[in-house]
Amino acid sequence: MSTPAIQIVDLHKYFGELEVLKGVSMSIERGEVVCVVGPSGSGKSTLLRCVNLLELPTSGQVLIDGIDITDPKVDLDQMRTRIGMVFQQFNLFPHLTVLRNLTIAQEKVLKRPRQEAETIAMEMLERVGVANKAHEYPARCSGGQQQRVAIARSLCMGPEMMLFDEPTSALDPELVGEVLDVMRSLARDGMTMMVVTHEMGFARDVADRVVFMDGGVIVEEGPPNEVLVNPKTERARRFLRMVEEK
Amino acid sequence: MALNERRVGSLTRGTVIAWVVTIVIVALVVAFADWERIGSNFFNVDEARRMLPQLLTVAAKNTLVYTVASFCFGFVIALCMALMRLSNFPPARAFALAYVELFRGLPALVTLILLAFGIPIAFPGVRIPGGQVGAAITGLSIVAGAYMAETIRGGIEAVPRGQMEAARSLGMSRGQTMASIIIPQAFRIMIPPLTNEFVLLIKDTSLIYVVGSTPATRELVKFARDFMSDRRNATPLTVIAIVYLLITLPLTYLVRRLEERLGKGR
Repeated sequence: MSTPAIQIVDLHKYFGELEVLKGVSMSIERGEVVCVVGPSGSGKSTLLRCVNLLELPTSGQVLIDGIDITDPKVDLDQMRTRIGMVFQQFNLFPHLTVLRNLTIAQEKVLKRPRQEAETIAMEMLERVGVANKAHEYPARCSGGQQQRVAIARSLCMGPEMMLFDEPTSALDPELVGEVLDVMRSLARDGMTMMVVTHEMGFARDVADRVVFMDGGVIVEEGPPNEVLVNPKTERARRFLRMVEEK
Repeated sequence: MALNERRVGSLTRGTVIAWVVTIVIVALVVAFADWERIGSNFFNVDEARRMLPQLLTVAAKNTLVYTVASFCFGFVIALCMALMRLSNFPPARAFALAYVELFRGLPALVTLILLAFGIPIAFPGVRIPGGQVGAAITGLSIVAGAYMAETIRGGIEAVPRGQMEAARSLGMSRGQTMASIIIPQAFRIMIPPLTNEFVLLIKDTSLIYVVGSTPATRELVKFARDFMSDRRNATPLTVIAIVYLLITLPLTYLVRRLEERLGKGR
């Protein structure tokens, strides 16, 4: 068996007294798309943010391609270029044009010359369908365009895997589709993806596996048509009923 | 017509009283003030002409040089202090906090005297480069640094946390993120308060008189005082007031324009 792209081992995370993650273990194979679902406060976003160490786990390990990144000796900045991350609030750099948003890290981190960085950036903007906005500032783009730019920005670093933290939750309903379409095409191209989402339709269609979290632990995991259609646990059933009613 | 009527109607008792009081005061001033004396002492054109060349080429120039120098050094100090305040290293945080509280809490005059006289008395061998002027600029920079440190820290903290997270998740280091993502955005937030610091600093350069100065190193206020005692005439006060306003008013105007232009990306 090959090394998993992401392996999380007995992860605990406290915020002060509050234990948000109570011993989570899971792994994601290369090319696999895993959706993490669950009620708010279940710890799913914290778990995702631990994967690239935006949150420092209190204990436990995170292995990326077999390398334990919780080890202080690991070059975390270098590891992070291999892990793309997309945020709920997009977090584009508002003082830079869309194109510059995509080139700045390529130049500073990967030391690519400006010309090459811009060529790659335009390619990625093309891929997510917002090349026409290259010279605008992010404030001049719609939410859906901003999130697609954010995805393109991550792709420019040539990541081997992508983390999505509720990427469509801040979007107006009519703009959700264009972002999900981009994510679908990424999945089709074989990208390893870990997606925290409330979009059950997307999870059902795209995910290879769904992880249901509640109260800081993984309650249930499996193929989408088991976890999302015929959940074994009462907690998952209750959650799905609530989501459907909405 | 209708508009006029409404305006008359809005003359309430309060406005009437305000007008009456104003008119009475103006009438009293006009009637009893010694206009000739005021004119010859505060608005004396001959005296103004006599002082102008020196005032512009020496005093006004010195005021500007002292201000710009103190602002630049102060800004560098402030940036260091702000970054130390925000660092993860407790001794650095404590040092920056102590620095800011100390030099913000003391009168600027005390800091100036300390540098110009206190240190030479205590350590006869130690000399601040630039002599008395150097000591004064150092003192003003230290004080300005303390004030601006808080401005800069406030600006940096006002940039949303997601900006740092996004840049770090692209693999940029903390330093790279600060330099090309956080500080440029913080700078926009800081422009109005920093202008304020600059204007305050222009006025604070008048404190430099305590360290003593030569005819060549005088700034505006010292120059005016010297001229007043030489000529027994108060016109320099009027002239330097105009010079100060000629510096500060265009500055605030320019900064407002700059703010509008920088605001575009938002």
